[in-house]
Amino acid sequence: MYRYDEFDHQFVRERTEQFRDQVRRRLSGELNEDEFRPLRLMNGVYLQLHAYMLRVAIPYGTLSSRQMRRLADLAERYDKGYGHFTTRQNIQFNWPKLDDVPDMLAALAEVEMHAIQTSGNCIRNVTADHWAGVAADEIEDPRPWAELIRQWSTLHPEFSYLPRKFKIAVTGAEADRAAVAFHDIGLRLKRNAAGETGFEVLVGGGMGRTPMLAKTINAFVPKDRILAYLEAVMRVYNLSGRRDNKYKARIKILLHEEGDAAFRRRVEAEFQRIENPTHLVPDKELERILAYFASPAYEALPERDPQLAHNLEANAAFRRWHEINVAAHKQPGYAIVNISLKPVGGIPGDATAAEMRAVADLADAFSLGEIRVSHAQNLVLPHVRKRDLVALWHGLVKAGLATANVGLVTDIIACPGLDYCTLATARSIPIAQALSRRFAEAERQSAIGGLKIKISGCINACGHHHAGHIGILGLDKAGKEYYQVTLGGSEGEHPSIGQIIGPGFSETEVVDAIERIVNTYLGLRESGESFLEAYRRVGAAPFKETVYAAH
Amino acid sequence: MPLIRNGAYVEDGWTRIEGEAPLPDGGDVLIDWSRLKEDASLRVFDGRLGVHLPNTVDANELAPFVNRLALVAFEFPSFTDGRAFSQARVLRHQLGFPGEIRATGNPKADQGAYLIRCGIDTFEIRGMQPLETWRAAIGSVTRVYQRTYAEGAGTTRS
Repeated sequence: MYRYDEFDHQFVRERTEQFRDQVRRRLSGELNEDEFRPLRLMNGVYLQLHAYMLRVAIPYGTLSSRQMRRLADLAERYDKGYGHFTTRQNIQFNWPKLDDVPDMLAALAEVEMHAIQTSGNCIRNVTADHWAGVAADEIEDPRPWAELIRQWSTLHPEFSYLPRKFKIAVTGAEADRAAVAFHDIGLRLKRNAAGETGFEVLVGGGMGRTPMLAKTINAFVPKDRILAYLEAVMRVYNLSGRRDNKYKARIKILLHEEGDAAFRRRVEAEFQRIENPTHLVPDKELERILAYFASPAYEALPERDPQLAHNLEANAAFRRWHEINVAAHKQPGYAIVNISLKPVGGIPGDATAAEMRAVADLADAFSLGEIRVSHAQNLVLPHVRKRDLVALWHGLVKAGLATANVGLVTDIIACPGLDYCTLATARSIPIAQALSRRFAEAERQSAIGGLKIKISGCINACGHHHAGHIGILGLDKAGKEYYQVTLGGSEGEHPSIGQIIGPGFSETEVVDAIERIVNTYLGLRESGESFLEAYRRVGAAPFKETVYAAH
Repeated sequence: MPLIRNGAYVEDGWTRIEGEAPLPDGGDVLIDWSRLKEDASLRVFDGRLGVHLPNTVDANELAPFVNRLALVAFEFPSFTDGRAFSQARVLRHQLGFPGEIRATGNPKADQGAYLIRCGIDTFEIRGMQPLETWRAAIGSVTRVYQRTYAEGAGTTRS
């Protein structure tokens, strides 16, 4: 893991004190709300429906057990005993008081964390594949580059007052677990014919009211030029992105209005003007960062663990959890363990202080003290010896964290919705809870197989409904909540945007409608066909028929 | 309007000439961008010239004028409109402009450090503000990740 040195420590301390002074000036009236707003947003502070909200960055989703314990402390001291892991590898605390925030930031700074640029019209927390560095299908670990981009984009002198927010995701694997096509910039590590690694640069993806998939504007940028290339993209956007309408201000609209080819020419011209593009990352600095992400000292272990085989045989609940929540690790004898934060009837992504501490303890005991946070609002223990899996599972069961549903129908993504959010038009959480209760039965979930349901409480799409195999969008019609359903969205290597199937549903109808959709799939699927594959084969018609026939 | 440089109020010796108003015989005059491009009489103007560039114009268009100009003023029409950060950056570091670059509109103390690193020298503000606020805001974060950005080159600390 990356570790702060004296430079980073001093930086976050100074930034905290700077914000403390800005809060003081706001409370004294020296700054008005219009002036204070962008300043607080760039420090992760929102004003929500009931209170302020602090959004803390978990850069590229990597967290130490010590940091997790500090998050638990903050949840207890300044929130109501829990935190909410978001779809962008952040954690949100929903109930702090404004004058507590500087102290929260100071407590975070002590454990090398911050809330810088988790909001505002700037480059947001850089996200990455949550299995980075351990996935069996990885070309190269994207995290050193994500860290480099984090540093480069932090309080960037030129790119901190952009037309709109700007999200960057990086992946180094074949399978895309970082949803790069749904980001303002997606970076994908690739190997060229000469065997060198570089980045495919995708630009202009996003959700919101105008969902778009990012386009590849450069198939291969050598790694040592990537910051210069990003600078070129950012400069074109900062100068030409629309500022007259906040709904048309994202880079996807600029790309769409200018056309891919014209946009690409402008970026290339800007890139040519950058002197010494390879000098943006001094070798020494890159080496320093790379060293932090070297593989930990794994034990030489056999790929198969006989004890594990025995335990799998003997314990059906463990076997089920293993089958669903455990993934292949690049290192023989090790596994990646996904911890679901989606218990039946629970709030997706919420974790109590006790749960956070339990995960921290289990990470210390079984995962070299390291934890990951996924954009699907789950946690990951990335370095678990196969022979420890059963002990870890017992620990998770004890903590109530052994829900075996990662990637299944009840592993629902949902934004906080109208229960918390000032932008929301409908509640998301109760829909997620009702669906997870409806599909709670384990056998049924296994029979349905991989299915991603994603729920947003408004058109801003923080719940990623556009990328859901089944997407649910909560809207307001004459003061009543109703829910629009989309089908066929997907992130990953072959991304697509979900299509609306027809008129929306009331809160009570929507769960039945989703169940009919799932049953329709079960009725028409061919052998081994996932929901998404079946939908792509047959289209929306059979689903519409069954859903609306009942009306 | 009050002008701040290096955390202190300084005299503004420039005369703003709007539109096609007649130029004085000499001295320091700040004119519109449209006039700089089109007015032939400027070639024989005896004093120093400055230009006010709208934030919709590509700063690269200043290239032919870099040696003739002593001042370029950029617009910051609101706290959140950051176009001129990039314009200043292009002018200072890509075109190598050595003269004064001024932020006009209503630049805020909390942006001061960013602006200076993009190449801005002076801040034209609306109404007097406590200099202490400016000095504190500019000096509040002494460590920056883009360490050599202000010199035009490297991006990360080293």
